[in-house]
Amino acid sequence: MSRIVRITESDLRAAVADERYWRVGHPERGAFQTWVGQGFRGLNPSDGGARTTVWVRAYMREGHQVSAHWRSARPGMGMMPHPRPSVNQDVIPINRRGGGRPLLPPSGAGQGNSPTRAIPRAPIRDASGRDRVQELRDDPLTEHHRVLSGEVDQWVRPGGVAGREADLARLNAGLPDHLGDGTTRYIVPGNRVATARPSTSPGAANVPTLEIFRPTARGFEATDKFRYPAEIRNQP
Amino acid sequence: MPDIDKHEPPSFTLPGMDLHFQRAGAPLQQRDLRDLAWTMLEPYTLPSGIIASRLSNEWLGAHNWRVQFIEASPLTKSDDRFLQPLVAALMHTQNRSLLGTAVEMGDAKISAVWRLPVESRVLGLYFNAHQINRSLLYSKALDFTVYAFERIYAVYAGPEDFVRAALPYSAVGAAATHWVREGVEEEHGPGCMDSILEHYAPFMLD
Repeated sequence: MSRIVRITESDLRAAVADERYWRVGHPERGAFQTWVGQGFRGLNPSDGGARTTVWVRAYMREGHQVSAHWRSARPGMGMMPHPRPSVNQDVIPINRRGGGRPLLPPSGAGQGNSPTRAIPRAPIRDASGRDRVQELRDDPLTEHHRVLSGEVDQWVRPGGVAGREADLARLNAGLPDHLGDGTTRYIVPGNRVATARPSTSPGAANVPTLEIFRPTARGFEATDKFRYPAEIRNQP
Repeated sequence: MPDIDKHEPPSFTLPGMDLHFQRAGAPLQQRDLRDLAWTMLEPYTLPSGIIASRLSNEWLGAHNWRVQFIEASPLTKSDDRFLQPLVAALMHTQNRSLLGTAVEMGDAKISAVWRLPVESRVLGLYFNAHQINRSLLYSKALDFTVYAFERIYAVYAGPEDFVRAALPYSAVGAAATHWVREGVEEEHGPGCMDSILEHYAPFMLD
């Protein structure tokens, strides 16, 4: 049996609807959720580089057991169709997603569009003619991580809390307005708003975060989320 | 009367957005209406350790309510595909005036309560204004609620007919919930929705 099985994004979406993914108490739930999550991350690598990601089933090589694992596929790697993923399958290449996430599930009428590169933004200049948020995006120490749901660019900046404080000063942010639960709101020249808070995301819990909102005709719109890990680790 | 009730409770909206809304009465009246909102809520601990609020199963079960998760961005971005059915469903229930407030724990638990007309423009502004915190849209009759968790997700709760009518068809049901989960996990990591989805699971629409 081949270790190579072709899986598309729609297959992964079907996997999300599988009871192994969502049914509380299902014996395979944890493994299945991990598999699906890793699959989706394979579609959206943090460095934004287009590639195919594969799931390699455990196999014997030169008399040694090789554990199941995810890895990047070689260009031109052979594939064979497989309609339904399983936690016990071999190799699962995933086609990189091209478009963004609609505001409605696929059967909905409208479609949003979130590219995987940083979204070009119209400049918002302060009285001195500078777009300080754009300067932060363009800083050599800023790494674009990905585009989040809602067309928000996520970035990584160094320095932890001190780094965030330095950036708030660089943005010429106004006085802090404490909103509770560790969230602080600032008005930034150009009628932008910044909120500082610890991250609540698992895996990034308590990493200092700075979100930027721009004014629109219908209120404010989040455009950027900067995260400030105390130590930036290279992706494996 | 506690001294704190003599002062206007603070507004936790994005700056200037509260100019679109009227306070729901004097400070004491707002306190009572805020307490009314909290009868539907209970505190719970996020995976990060932060204590937040959620609709209580006791309330949902006692009133035979159902819930549906959606992503918050259609509300914060005034998407009429979501706001128009919400307004229509509210008009059908004879609700003509709504209440809205931030529902945070700790120091921010005391917050302004807004009186909101049932208009899609105003409701869009309300959700936009509160996208930096947790908020509750409700009526004095407590016959429905929309709990919004920042700009991440929102939970519609009420009688099943109301919830179904208040949302686009494709945003209701288990597949739609999976869609929301996938989107939230994409930003916040796998498993971040587990505890909250398990909490609401007995009341979710199929």
